[in-house]
Amino acid sequence: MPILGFDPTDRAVAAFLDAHVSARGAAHWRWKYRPGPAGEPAGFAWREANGQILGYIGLMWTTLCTATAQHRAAWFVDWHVLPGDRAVGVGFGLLRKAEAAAGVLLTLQGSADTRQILPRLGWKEAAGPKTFVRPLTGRAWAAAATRRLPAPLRPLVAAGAALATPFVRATAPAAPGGARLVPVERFDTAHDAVWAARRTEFAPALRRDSDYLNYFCADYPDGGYRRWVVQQGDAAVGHLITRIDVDRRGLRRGRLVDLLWPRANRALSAWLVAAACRELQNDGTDYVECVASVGDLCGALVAAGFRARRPVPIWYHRLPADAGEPGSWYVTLLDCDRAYR
Amino acid sequence: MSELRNRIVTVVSGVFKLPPEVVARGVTPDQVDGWDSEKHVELVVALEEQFGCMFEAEEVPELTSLEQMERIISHHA
Repeated sequence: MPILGFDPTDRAVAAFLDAHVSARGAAHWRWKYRPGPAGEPAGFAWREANGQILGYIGLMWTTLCTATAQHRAAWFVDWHVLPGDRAVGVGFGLLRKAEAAAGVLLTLQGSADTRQILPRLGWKEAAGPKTFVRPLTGRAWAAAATRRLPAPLRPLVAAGAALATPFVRATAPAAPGGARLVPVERFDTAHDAVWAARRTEFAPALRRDSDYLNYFCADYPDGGYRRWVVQQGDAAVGHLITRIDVDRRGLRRGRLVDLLWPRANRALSAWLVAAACRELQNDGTDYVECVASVGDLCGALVAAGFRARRPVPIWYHRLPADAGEPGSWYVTLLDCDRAYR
Repeated sequence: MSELRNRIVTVVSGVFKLPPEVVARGVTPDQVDGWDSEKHVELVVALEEQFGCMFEAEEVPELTSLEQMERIISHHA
């Protein structure tokens, strides 16, 4: 049988991924491809009798939480097949294996090939999640503005950019009900009670328990994350996760990776967005990105000075009847950050 | 030619826009222009619709000759 479940110690598969997907190294693949909750393989490789790997599809396991149930789910990633007549159909075979294994299978907008093939196999594209952006420095404002200007005007705008900084900086908001952010190195298991309390408020949503949050945002080998528990009085009521990296233009990009709060408390969501921007500003970021899909978070972002930019399409296969479609789910960068997809 | 082989030839002929008599002489990806991964998806979906079956993941890449298609489809019958 040429399709094998991914074994993180398999050097041939890691070498295939390094050579043909991204040269991230064995430690990255070991982190990325952890088995599912019941020990399900974190990917499938097509291996010929001579040992050659012809193709691979990776799975990042999660759980889809609806108002009434929890469904096993996975994102498929790193779907790659070597060119050549022998490999015709290998990619389709691997995808079919992943579909059978996952139950609910999702992916982000992929290559042109992927977008051609998936609709023929009954996959659908959900629009809804969008990337929102807010500049925090004149430099970032100028970088965004100059893209739309004629070339001769760009140096003028760039030169005046520093003057804009006071107008784009995040201001310190007043915390409603004594809310505060408590930084943590990791989320301990007590945070699972927070997720359990919030889960039905945010459903449908993918899991956000301590194990999952730590996997993505504390154990990620390239780091860059900061984590906070949102407290009101002595009670933990939510969380905030941010990440900082440097974009292709050399600007420091801050990301609101995930936010969780008592859903009905709109004042708290507005404060949380503003407080997150202030934290990222204090860390020297030039601009902030966030992915949001649902009305209350989108509204809080717009009120905080974010503007909607590009859509983040999510592709899906079969979905349970109680799940709606992914455009209506609570989606953030935790679910669809290409940095680890 | 068996009835099963005839039906397979009809499907392959439709997918690759080739005359049935050409297909009946035998086809493989290296003999047919444009038999790439995308076209293979179209072929597999067309065979599944025609024969009312769903191929296993491991079978999908093996559907690359009339003989293989006949063998695998017989297995599903």
